[in-house]
Amino acid sequence: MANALWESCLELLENELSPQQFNTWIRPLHAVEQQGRIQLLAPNRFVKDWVQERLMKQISETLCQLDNGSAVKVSLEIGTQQPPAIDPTAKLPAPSSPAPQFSRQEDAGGFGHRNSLKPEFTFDTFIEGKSNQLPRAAALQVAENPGAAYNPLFIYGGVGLGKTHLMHAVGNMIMARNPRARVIYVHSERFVGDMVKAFQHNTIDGFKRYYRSADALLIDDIQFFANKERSQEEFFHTFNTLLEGQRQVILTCDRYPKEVGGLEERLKSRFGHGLTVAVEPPELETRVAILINKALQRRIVLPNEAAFFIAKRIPSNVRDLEGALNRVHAHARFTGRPIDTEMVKEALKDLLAMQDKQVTIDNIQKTVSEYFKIRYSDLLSKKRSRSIAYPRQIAMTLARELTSHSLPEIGEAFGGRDHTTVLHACRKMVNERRNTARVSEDFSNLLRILTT
Amino acid sequence: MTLQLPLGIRLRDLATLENFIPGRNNELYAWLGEHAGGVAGRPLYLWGASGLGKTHLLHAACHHAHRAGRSAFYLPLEQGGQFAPQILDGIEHYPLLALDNIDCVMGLPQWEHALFTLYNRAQDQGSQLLITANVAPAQLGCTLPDLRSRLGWGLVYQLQDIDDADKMQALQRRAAQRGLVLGDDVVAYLLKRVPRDMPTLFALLERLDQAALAAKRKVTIPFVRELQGW
Repeated sequence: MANALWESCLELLENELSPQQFNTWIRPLHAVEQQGRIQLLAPNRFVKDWVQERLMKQISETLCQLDNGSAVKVSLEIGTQQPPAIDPTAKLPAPSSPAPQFSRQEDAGGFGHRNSLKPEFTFDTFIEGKSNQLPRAAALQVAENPGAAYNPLFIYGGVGLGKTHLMHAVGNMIMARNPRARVIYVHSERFVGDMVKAFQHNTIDGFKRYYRSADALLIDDIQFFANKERSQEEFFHTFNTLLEGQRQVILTCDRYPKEVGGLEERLKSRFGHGLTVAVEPPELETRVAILINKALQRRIVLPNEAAFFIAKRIPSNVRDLEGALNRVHAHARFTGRPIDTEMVKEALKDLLAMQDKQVTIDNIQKTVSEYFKIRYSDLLSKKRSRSIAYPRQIAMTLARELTSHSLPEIGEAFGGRDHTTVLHACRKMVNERRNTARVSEDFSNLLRILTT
Repeated sequence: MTLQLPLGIRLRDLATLENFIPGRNNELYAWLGEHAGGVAGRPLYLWGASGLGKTHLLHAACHHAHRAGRSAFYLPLEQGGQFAPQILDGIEHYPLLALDNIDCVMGLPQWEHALFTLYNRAQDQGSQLLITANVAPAQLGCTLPDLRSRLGWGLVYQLQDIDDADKMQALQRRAAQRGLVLGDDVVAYLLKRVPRDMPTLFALLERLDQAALAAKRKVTIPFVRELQGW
């Protein structure tokens, strides 16, 4: 086995270091072992420096100890490991090479891996409603007539409302009509990141050529260009080149172009040259349709009332709707039950709970005294009449069940009682709850009040 | 190469999925077992009060992934003050990414931004994201809406507390892992007298283990009583 020595070293270090240290700094290192030399790869400079400074000594010592005292040469570099099956030599640098090791993707300095369109984002899977009719129609026109209809097409609106979906739908349609078209989709962050890397690696010409040769350039979330002057400058030129060549540009943003802070005026004004359309949050019917459609795509049987139930409770955006659907689906898979409204309620219990209600003893005492219409102070007093003792015992039992306080702590909170008193109350209530309808009812009422 | 563990090494409380008692969290537990070592699923956002085992589950998932031959990266963001957001650079290449306590860096624009871009890169890369926080995504106080909406998009689970019988089992399992026998009577005795959150219970176990080792005695009720001064 190639990494036997390193694997053994991991085993020892796992026992010596805290789980945090081990899982953050040691386990993520990729080891390349060759002829008694071990090269460790860290994902970035930060991790490398940290390990070098604080853990390298311990690593070397452990390795030496494992290799019967011989000095194992170990070095630390930045890089990611490629699967050995693809190219076994890619991760082995020349021993003296001072340059950081990059995976082949980055090594190529190429940007070709960034234009991935998501095939599932099409016009067919885009649910139309009042809130997005206009942007959908505009996007469709652009897809049918790229570079000519509206250029640029600027789509703005809140998060999770389908801007990215529309953008991909246009790209996919252009590709479907002309498979040789060069459609580039990129998040603005990527554009900035690629540019920085291109400057570092001296491949800025390749960067420019790549983006300026697009037939359609789709840039998502351009608000992230804010305050990045150099990227804006480069983007401005790319943008002009494409527009002059009648190539399509589509941009999305979380707000109206004029409202984006930290963006050059000339860019903002260019953005307005084409068509600017807004997507609004979907109304109830659209949310229901979105859910049903998503369920259909994933072959989840989702009845209409269940979809309505989810859509009513998740008013915000499509991502949250999908999050709820994910949870319902996971629950259905786990329990093997069909989806209905009852089951949805159960599955989304904690998702819908706005806050994790922290139940405290004090809270329990107040709720119980209110419920039985007795005084709070009576609950803590020495009184032992049935009308006081029964609520007190219920409150103690609830404290035991809903908090993680110890019996002595609970006893203390109830007027300094002994822990055996609490234990007695709990045992008695467990019994009565099973056998007496009234007690059982009081319990479930109080539980409901306290936990929802 | 055959290797032997040196003598005198202390058995650590390794966090694994096997030594986590799921209780009411069995759906989440099954999901983790399926996705930590196998094919990546949707991003998981796990939230709940402290002491319920969020960190345990993340460590366990990393362990599980490693056993299955997948590399993993764990980042405790409660220590975010010691790190710079650049620690997230390039880590999307790990098939499993565990980000613990992201609530600790919410409201810090640089971190939120770095997490947002990491989220996108991890999605593109097909890496499994496991994220924990003390509150639900909506309560996180995340000032970057793009990040906030993405956190709610995957699978969101609230970690629930386990009941006393499960706590008893959890304690005994951890004791057994350390080579310590903890009888039912002793555990029942403890559960009646100390706060029953797992960190307190595990800390007490550590204390009992040390004391028993030093005194070369078994852990019995009289021993516990003596040690705790009850």
